[in-house]
Amino acid sequence: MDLRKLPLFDMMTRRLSWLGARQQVLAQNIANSDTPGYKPRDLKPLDFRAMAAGELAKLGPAVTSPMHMAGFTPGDAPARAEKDRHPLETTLSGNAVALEEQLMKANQTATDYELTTNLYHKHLQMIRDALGRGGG
Amino acid sequence: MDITKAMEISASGMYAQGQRVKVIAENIANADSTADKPGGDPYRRQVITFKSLIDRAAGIEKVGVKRVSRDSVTPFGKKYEPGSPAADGEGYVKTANVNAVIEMMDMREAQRSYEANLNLIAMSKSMIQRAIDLLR
Repeated sequence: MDLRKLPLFDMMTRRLSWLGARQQVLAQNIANSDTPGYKPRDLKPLDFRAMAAGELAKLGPAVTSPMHMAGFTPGDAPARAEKDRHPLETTLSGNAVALEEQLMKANQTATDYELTTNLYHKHLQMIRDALGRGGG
Repeated sequence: MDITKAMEISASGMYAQGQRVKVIAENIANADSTADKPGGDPYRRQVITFKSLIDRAAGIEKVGVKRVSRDSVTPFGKKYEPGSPAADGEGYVKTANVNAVIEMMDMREAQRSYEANLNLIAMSKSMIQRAIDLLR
């Protein structure tokens, strides 16, 4: 069974990869917190509602034979990091990274990651329960 | 994987801050270094600057040392010490332009940034652990 064919699992996988990408961007901001002229970046927020709506509206060609090519599915493009247009503070050197803000975002990302992996685990557990353990 | 890249970026940040502490240590150690001949210049304090290094292969932006230069703006101090080999005709000796308070403040800032990077590595590590735990 391909778990990614279930919309919920697909959405959670995408959320996890988005959170991973965001962690990378935040690490970049914190590493460059003393680089002159560096402006912090962040990813565009992932809208779960829009994602769910898009999931229903997603239309792809049906694959009825293994010889068919899988259709293009939109929404798999990697998230792009954008410069923060309204930084909290800018130092004399032109650096606009506020360490506290970045650490808070990183913390939130880690918590969201935990939440999503827990949800994933629970749903997997539910499927396993439905499959049964073969005890009779 | 994005999260391992995040750890790599944070590690580059820690390395850069380590270099900064090294430069500060050199400044403090040489705070009393004077010239060995009359009228000569004493130790000139060093200043470190950072820049962001773009790693195109991995698609990440790390941080690195741009250059370590000499501070030629801060003037040297002056001290009356006719017995010193560096004393000029009037008995004055030029002292290094190192200010212990400024160096200490810089050291604190380096420490703060170092800790922020370290925290982010710990956070990224726990996120990876979460992903691995899905296997259980």
